[in-house]
Amino acid sequence: MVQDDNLDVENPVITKGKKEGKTSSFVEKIEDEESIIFDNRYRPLKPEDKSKDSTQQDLKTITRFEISKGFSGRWAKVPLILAGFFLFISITALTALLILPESSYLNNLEYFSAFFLTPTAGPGSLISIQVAVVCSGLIASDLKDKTLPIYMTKVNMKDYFISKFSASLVLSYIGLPFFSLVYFVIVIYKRGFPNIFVDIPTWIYDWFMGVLGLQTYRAIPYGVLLLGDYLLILSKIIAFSILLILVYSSIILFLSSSTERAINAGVLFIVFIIASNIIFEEILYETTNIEFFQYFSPVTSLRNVYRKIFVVNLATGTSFGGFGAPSSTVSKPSNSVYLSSLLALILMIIGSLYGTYWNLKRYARRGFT
Amino acid sequence: MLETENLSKIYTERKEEIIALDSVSLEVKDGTTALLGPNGSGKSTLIKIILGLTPPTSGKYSLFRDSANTKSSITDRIGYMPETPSLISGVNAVKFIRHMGMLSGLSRTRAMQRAHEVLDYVGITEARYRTINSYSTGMKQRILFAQALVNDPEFIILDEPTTGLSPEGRESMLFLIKEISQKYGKSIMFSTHILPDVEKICKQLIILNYGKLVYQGDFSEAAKNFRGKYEVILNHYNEKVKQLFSERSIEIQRDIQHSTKLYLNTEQNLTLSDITDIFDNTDFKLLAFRKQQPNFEDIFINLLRQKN
Repeated sequence: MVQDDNLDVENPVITKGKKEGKTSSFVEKIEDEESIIFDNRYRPLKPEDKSKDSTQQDLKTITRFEISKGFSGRWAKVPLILAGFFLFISITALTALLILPESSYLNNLEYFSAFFLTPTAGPGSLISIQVAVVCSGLIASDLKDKTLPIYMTKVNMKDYFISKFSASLVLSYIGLPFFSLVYFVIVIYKRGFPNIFVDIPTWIYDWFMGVLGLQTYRAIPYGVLLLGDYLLILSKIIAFSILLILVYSSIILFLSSSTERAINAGVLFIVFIIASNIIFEEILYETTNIEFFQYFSPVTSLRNVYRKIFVVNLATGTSFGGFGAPSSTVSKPSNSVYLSSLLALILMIIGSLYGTYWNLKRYARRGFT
Repeated sequence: MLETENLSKIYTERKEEIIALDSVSLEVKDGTTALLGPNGSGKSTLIKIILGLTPPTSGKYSLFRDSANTKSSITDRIGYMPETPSLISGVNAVKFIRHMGMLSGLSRTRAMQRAHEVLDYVGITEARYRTINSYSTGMKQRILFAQALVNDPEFIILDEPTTGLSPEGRESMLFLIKEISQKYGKSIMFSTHILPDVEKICKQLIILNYGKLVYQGDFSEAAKNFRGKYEVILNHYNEKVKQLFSERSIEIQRDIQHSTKLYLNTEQNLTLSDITDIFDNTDFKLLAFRKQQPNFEDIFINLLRQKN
């Protein structure tokens, strides 16, 4: 056997390098004194360094990694989207609600919070774009980078799939559903809770003057009396957000696992959302009047559920710049339409998730080529 | 380290069956083993089966003498460097290796330390904070090698580790492979097309062709059994020479610079008297005859021919 004498493993190479950096003082000091030596000996791990094989840790690791990827890079998608939405909220709903009369405050709190979740019109329609931007690369980029075989040597397919799904849920949530909640909290904070330095002394003064009969007693516009209403609205927002995100996340995940190009998955997602609405709702349902067709459109089914859950047909709602939100003439869907829509959405979620898992399994069966 | 018994893999594509591995029984011992074979010979399929990425159609295999081959029983003890530069784009080398370390069971802090250790080892120094997309092929290969070491495995599988590298890059990669095997006692199996790489660092050979095992054994054993390449110099040359050799099923090749110098390719064991017999009763005179020392390429082609 010919052994190459140049590959002398007994005399390891020590690489010398100078640290590069933008801040000059530290670097200059190092350069003046000595070069940093990179010690390139191989170091074995100690047995205690490795923990036991843990599915939970794998899930957490991949999910956190994918989320952090959304926040980093030259074009960090998540912060950009958050900034965009924040600007949007500041311009539209928040200012309006803060100056709203007390009497219509509660109903409008629900109206405006739900406003960010409208699947067909208003700011809520932007959620499909947001989901497409942040989630389209979740599996597609692994297929493109060919990193799936490396992942599969470390985790099993099921864990990989679940962690990607978890990441898609979190990333989808960072958008309008998140802002719906933030909006809700900000408004309650601003309107619902007293400022201890201004409001409470004023209230005590009013109460005292009222007792003395010197002034008409004023109702408290904030406090525990409204807590039940707040919780009800909050529960509605959370419940609908979860449904919306589950539907969109599972569909985008399926599309992401079907292509090696994230941009294709993103565009396909938006096309599917729009086209399915046009085909099933506007063409098939409108022309045949067979209700069955409209449930195939996720947007239509989501809208039916949305209308059933939220108080959206308020006259006061549109007076603050409705931006295409459902008008006061829109009636709530019947129970059968509501339940059929809910069932269709659940089937869409299950179908998309199964499709994603099947795509990954098929890829594995073909030897990851 | 690894044993397989009648391992077969059949892929079905458009109702057509493709036999990627055909009843392969082999044993990989400790040390460095080269997995050789032409394109489509089944090398990558064998690797994928060993790693548990794809199940075999039939047959069985055992790693570390554990026939159960459960995912958790092997992932901790195995490192894998894939053929293509499979790196997560948009992140830097440290984050990538740390991520892989955490998936190998290291804590976040230890995975970060480990990422720096293995990147130091493979010689990725200050460039480790650049995003992976900006790396050269050589650097990407080294990062992949670092990734294979992150869990300190006992057995490392390298799929074409030197493909696409410059001569210096190749040399440095081979040094690392040799060092990790000889100095730190890791067992390595690596597939390659580049035969001189094998000569430099491998003791054992596994050769596959058309999904079948062609040869398994020591390099030195293969060289000992090599028959067939000789050098002959005659006083002159014409077409009659070619005819004389072809009558004895010996293929000849003329040297480009010296027209009377010939190379004989044959599976026969030739001696000086065999050659002189050929030229008896002719006007050709044999000026020189010697058996050529086979290089690895000769041995490889010879083994493939023998099996075919």
